[in-house]
Amino acid sequence: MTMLLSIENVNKAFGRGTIHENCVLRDFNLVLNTGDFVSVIGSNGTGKTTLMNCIAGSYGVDTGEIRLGDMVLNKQPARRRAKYIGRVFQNPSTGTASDLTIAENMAIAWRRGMRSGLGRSVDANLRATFRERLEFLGLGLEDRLDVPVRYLSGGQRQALSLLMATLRQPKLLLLDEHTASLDPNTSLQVMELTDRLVREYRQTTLMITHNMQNAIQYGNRLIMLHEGHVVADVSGAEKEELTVPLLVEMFRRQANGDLGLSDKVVLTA
Amino acid sequence: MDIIFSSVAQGLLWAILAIGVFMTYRVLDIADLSAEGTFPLGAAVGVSLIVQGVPPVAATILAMVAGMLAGLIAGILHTKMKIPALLTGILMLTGLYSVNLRVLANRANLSLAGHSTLMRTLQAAGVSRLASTAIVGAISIGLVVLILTWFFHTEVGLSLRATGNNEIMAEANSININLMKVLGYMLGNGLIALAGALIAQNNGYADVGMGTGTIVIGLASVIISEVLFRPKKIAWHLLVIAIGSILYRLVIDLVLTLGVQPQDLKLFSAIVLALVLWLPELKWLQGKEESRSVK
Repeated sequence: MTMLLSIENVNKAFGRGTIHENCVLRDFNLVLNTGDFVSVIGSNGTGKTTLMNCIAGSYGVDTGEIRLGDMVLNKQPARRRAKYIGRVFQNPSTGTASDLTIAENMAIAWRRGMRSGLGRSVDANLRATFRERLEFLGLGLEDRLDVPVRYLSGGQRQALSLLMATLRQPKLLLLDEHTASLDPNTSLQVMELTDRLVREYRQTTLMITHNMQNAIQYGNRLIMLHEGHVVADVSGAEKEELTVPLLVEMFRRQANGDLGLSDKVVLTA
Repeated sequence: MDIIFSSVAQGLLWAILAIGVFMTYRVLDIADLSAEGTFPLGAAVGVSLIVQGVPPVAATILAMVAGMLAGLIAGILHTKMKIPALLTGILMLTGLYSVNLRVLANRANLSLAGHSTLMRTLQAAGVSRLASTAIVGAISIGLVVLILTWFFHTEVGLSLRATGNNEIMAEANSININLMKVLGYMLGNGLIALAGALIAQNNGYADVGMGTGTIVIGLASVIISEVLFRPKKIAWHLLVIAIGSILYRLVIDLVLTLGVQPQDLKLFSAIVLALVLWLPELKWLQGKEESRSVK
């Protein structure tokens, strides 16, 4: 197993030096191996999304080092990191350009990390490739290549976002609660699709979720964040045996029974 | 009849301004007021070059280049120096006022009397004055629409559209959004300066004050076209802006013949734009009801 992502002693605070200073990541450490499919759980405000944003480059870190393979990511702007890192956001509107057609959106994902010139953005060859990839989704989108994405449902847009994020097989795929704003049935479909894509490409993936069942069911490893630390890291046989009640119990122990109201709601749901 | 033909001919020239405004306002989703400075800049550069003996075609192209340079500065102000778009526009139009005076050799206006222009070249070949305006307008707008349609379907053009449509998505797909914004500013202001150079040649002079209200004219044309035609494809969108621009010209020329005094025209055009901006709201409500009744 080779190490893909390593996060060492990362600190990230917002409003540093003000009375509102909020330390979100504290001496944070995490290592992901190639091929890992890791789900990340943790209560609100515990640093999950901040972690994603620090890895993707939307935020810089205060101290510490983020490495991908043998590259140090710290100094690279988000658009450079995008060459190696695919992202799917919580809001289905964020991952796609709504006024552009399905084919045009895919063409943009197709050229990720490449220099753009004055060549035609979508040609017959690419259309055939896109159609083939869209068939994988099984949503009939392959026959709607020239439809602007704004006419797609949330679930369809999220499926397209997933396909776009993995189109050029990035080294790392970041999923930020990508099923949270979908209805339960669509959420399930997108989750199944995620699993199929990750398996097909053996895609190293970091997935934030609020859904305990998903966190247990999918992936080979589960980590729990609390107050900017990894407080539990479960994989292999141990993860196979995890159940939602066990996970909730772990959660309670870590939080010393001091859970916010919203988490109680989430955990008992 | 002559008035209508005149409006159409003028509208074709103004359509280039409208497409320039469309570039920032719609494609990039940035409200750029630089137009008020780059339009007279194009006029000033074009006219002063012609007066100095540069052939009209070359002078017109150089005027467009001057507009692109102004756009480059506006783009840097907005992206690198992180100045909000509205303030960037105000800085540009204020600064360009002095630049334009300089270009006009410290005069408020510069006449083309006795010099050749694109229109006069045609007139020398026996074309009527109105027809020369229409021909220059049609050729220019035709070229602009063709080139932009091609450009918007290239890799860079698509990246530019994605940047204006969804910055987060663009950045997550490794598009350099700042570079795309600068490019959009350059193209938009280049077109606006081109319109300035053409209209100054048609009028026979450049005036340092001719920029006042250009953004209103451009926006009105863009929005009239959208309300009337609801364009979806980008090529069609560019074409209907030309129609919107002609319609706007017709309205303005009509009210002038109905007795609105020229000094009240700017007020009138502001009122027209306010109404036109309100129109989509009304249309939108209607559209919603239509779709509900269909379902």
